[in-house]
Amino acid sequence: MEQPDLELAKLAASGDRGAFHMIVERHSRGLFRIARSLCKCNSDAEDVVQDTFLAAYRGIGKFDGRSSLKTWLARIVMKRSISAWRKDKRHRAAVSLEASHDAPGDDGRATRTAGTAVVDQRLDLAAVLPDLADEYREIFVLREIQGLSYAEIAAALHIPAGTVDSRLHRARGELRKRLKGYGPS
Amino acid sequence: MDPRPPVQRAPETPVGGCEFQPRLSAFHDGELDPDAERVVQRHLAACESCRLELQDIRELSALAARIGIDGMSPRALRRLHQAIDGQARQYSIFRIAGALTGLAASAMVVGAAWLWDAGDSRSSASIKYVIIEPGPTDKWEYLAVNLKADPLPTERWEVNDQQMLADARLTSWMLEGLGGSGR
Repeated sequence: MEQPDLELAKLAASGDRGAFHMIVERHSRGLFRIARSLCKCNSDAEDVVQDTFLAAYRGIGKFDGRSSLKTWLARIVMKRSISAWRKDKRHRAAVSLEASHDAPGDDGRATRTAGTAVVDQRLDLAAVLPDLADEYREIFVLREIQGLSYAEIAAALHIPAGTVDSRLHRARGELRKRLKGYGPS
Repeated sequence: MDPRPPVQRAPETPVGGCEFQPRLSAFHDGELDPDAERVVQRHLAACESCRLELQDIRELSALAARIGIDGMSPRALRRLHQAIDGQARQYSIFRIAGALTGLAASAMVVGAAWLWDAGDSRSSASIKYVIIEPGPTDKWEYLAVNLKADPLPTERWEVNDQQMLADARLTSWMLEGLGGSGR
């Protein structure tokens, strides 16, 4: 049976290094996805994830279990990703408009419809996401990358579920608008 | 004049958009209750604007779903585990150093408290005076301190003790030197 996160966190806080390695194994993938959505390349995202886990290792004793370990780590990685992104000013000027993979999503829902104002998949979402207002970016990442439910997001951010709904709606609208701004003429 | 009241637009509804649009995010995420979901589904069948909006939301989700899907490279993951081990070792050293420092500080506190307590008991209980016995004094010193005559009448002094006389001469010579009365 898999040990709960909270138990692993307690063990890690008491100096059990193996427990922390298990936390890394369990959450590195999700954290990398968040970092990758906010960093310009894989290498930067990997560095951010490493920094995040090292910071978490130092601060694991402060984790009080009020939010889930997953959310706690997600918020650390988001802060560090944004901080890294802001340091790299050149990145803003080098937003890539190069083509990326144009395959539809795994669930097959993302099919382009000719003549409709759809989001252009050639564009790099990671190029516009860091520029979004903090409250929108955070909520979008928690939902779309972390896959948290509205209730989980509400608990993590200490906001009502209704606010999650409206804020996510606005975040999506804002992202679509910006992606269209980068779209082909 | 139109007797119908104006349509109450939801606060999130974009100008020119459908009032159902703010619900589409929650619909897409499966966060609506079953009744509300059925209402939106019925509406979608009749509203092209909302269908396009929903399509956009789905495209955006699909785009987000592909981000970093491959995960970290095995090499980066290995480096991460190594970095944690390195930090753990560093922490162990700090912990040992911290423990030793704490131990030393504790010893100092205990020692200081003990000395404080011992000093206090000595002052309040019985005060013992220590008398330092003077050591044997050289004779020339004795003469220098006690003889009144200056300079010492060593030549005319009738002293039988030759050693005493020698010391008196030495004293006289030293006092002359110290007083600057010599050559």
